[in-house]
Amino acid sequence: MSKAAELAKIGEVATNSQIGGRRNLVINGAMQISQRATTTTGVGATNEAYPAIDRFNFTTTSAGRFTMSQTADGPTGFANCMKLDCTTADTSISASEALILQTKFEGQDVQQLMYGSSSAQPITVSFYVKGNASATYTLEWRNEEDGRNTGKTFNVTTDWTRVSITFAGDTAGAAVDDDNTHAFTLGIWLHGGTTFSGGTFAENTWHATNNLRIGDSQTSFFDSTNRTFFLTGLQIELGNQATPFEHRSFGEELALCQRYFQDPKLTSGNYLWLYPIVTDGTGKYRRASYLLPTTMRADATATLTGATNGTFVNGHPAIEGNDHRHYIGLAGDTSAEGKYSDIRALTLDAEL
Amino acid sequence: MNFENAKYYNKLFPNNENEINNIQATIDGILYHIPLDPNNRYYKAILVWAAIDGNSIADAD
Repeated sequence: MSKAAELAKIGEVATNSQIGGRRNLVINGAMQISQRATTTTGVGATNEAYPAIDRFNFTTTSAGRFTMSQTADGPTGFANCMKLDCTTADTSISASEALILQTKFEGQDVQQLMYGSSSAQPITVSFYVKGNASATYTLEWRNEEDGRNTGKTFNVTTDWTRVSITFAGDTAGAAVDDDNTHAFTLGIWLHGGTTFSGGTFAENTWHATNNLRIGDSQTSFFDSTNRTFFLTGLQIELGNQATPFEHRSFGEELALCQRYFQDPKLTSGNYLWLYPIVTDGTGKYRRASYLLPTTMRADATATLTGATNGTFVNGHPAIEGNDHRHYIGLAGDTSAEGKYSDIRALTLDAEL
Repeated sequence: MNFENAKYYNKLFPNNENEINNIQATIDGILYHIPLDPNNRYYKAILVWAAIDGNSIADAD
């Protein structure tokens, strides 16, 4: 870029108020946080899944399968990236098939976009990508309030490339509720059938037509088990210009991710003890309180594993209480006094 | 989500014996404790599942 062009860009960025404050709407865009696992195989068997790297899920309807990993193969300045590696190909694409890599946003975090008004703002999405070979995929920005989408194709090569795409604001779309519900989805279509590609794709055009969602030159990620897709440095910012990626600390990103998913990583010596509450003289009633380090978006779904040297009774271990955003009540009644009872694994999910 | 063995769970102790706390259901062999929050994605999904003929959430013990 010439000096003059650089200055012009800086001027435009300043005019659009893109400098200063927090710019990136994406959580975990540098792929730093992977609470669930750093590698998950066989992804695609479940329609909706958050397999590994925090805040990124997949909508999948295909016989194709892949492995999702957090790897250290990022471009300069990025310690981590997401790697998708096709392990089962699917070259017979039925109409309704899809594979969409997604990250989702709450309404109260995107009020500045002013959708549903004549002042609806543009956004610029930027990210680094590469693959095993040349490919073309479709980036989509979707308003979940009204089901309207806009999209644009982008190319992948065998080298890291920074892609920058600006989407116009939707002045004809619905306003976004100022709450904790699902408002927007940023998706990368990696595979799809004619239900989503049957029409003639128009880039950067808002619509609510299913068969206009995938670009006409779309590659299928499932076309070969050689196929890979790498992604990092994902950023969404207000305005027409991509600015340098906003790096945040590991601690900041972890706290942001914990609003949606938490795993306290209980290990031997750090189990959550369930303490006896003696009301009937048997000492079998056991409870513990677990105060969450970050308030979760909604009441969380829990999975838990417990242990006792007696026998769990009353359908325990279980969670109790009516507030699973700030606090979790844990219950592990055991068969008799003198038996220990503890929780050895716990996950909490309040993803969109 | 493929739910199995879905059942309401009652808080047994203390003093709220009839208060339904959550739904317990198995998905792919793992037991999930699903809160009754309309903004929870599992709760939304199990209500859709339960509305299909042949599916139901059993009463609590």
